[in-house]
Amino acid sequence: MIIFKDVTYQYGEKTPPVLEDLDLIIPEGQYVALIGPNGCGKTTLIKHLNALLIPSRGGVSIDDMDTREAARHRDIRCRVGMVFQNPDHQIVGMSVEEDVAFALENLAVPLRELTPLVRKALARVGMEGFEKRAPFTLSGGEKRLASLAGVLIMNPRYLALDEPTAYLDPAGRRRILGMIGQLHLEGMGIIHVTHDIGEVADADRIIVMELGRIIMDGTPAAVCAFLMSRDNPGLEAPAMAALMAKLKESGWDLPTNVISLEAAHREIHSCLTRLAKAR
Amino acid sequence: MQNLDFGQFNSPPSPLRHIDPRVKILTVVVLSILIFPATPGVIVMISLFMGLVILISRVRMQDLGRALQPIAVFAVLLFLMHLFFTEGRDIFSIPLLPVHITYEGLENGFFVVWQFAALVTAAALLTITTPPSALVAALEKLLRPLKMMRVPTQDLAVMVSMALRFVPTFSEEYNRMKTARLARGEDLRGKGLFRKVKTAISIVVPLILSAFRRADDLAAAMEARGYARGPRTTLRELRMTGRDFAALAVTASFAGLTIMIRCRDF
Repeated sequence: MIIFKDVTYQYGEKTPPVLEDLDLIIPEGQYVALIGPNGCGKTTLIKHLNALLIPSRGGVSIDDMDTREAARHRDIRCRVGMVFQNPDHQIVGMSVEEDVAFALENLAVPLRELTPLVRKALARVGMEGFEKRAPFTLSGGEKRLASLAGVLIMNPRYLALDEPTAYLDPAGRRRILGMIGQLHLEGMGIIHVTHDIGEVADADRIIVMELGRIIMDGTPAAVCAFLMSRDNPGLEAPAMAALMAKLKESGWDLPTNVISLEAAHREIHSCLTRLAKAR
Repeated sequence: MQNLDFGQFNSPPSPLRHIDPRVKILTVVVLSILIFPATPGVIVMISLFMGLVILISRVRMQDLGRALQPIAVFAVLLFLMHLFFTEGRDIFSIPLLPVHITYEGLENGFFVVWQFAALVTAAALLTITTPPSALVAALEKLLRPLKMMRVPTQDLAVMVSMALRFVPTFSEEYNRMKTARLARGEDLRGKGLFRKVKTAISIVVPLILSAFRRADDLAAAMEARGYARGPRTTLRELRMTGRDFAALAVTASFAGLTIMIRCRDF
């Protein structure tokens, strides 16, 4: 379980806090999405999960390990895998296999175990045969998957992803989101930072942040209804919910807290069926 | 900047490619030591030896040529310096001006350029026939004795590895910045040295700033994956085989022979 207790974080003593009095509990195996406008503290928050940042006030514990204890950092980093926003800033190896092996090399895993584990991690993200490729020859989606494999090789219990679909084409987006869904099904806890609520429709819970605070924490439907009910600078209500709202204005009996295309399709279909029956 | 593929690993399968990188690095070091105090006889021998190595390596001449291209200007300058500033018997001189071209200058210039080209060819052969990761692994092993003097050899090797890893990325970024400037109508072809330097600075400065930002992110990403001082393993474990020992013996014999000839020449 991940626990944030009264966490405040400031980048400098004289700068305003980026996170302020934040309390948060993420149970094991939960899919949590973090949304909010730029500068609201999402990336700062997830950097606390990996002990890359230590709270200025308050505390963060990962499965009962306090991030303030430097001796626990290696264990914490094995427990929470972190995929950064730009894979170009994350890939350190000169070939895909070297990059994927990096974390295990740091853990001094013996050579005879490294190669099969690298193969397994690459197979897990569907990148078999990419072992010898140089990172700069990969497409955006492939780089992202290679970064993911480099983290999955540590066998983390939680995975923190900072805008994992940024700069990707629709096919790349689908591939990454499919992979995240699969990992969640396998029992991994997911903390997914995004601007697009549409891509986290399957999350167990969505947290909305604003100015370093959590302003809403609920199911996707509840968060969708919350976003539809107010003006959100820097954050858009889901396109499907906006469509449903327009249809509702035109007299259709539809809910507006719908995020995914599948759910919108289901609702419109059942509305049409009701109308047909009424005639 | 466009020539950042200088001497990059691009080797066809050959016996040289599979020789342990430590042996190759040591051979280049030995050749460098032999090249500079060389006599004409020795430099001919070294060139013949390197010709043989090139044949064995099956490296394409155009790849070697590309590796030598960036140093062409420097080689010409080196030649001209010796040509104009060596005292001796005049071939040509301009009256009232201190310009003398001498037989000795011509000979010296030619010889120094030959030495320099031999040195760069040896280094290029090393980088063309060795994957960068193998080079880094070899460097780490060769520097290991310095650990006793508390030199952070592991960190040094990782630094070299990072530098090599980011060469193509920075090349890509440089070209992107250049294209962005061209797209806004700037003329970057610039004639004249001053203009060229000004253009290069205007692109290189933002490139350096972006490198600093990237370094921060990279450090965080490395830390997040458990990078810290302490014992590490590496995917590329180096192990000397019979072939590597044979190559080392060839280098040692060649060095011995060269030193003998050098002593006889004096």
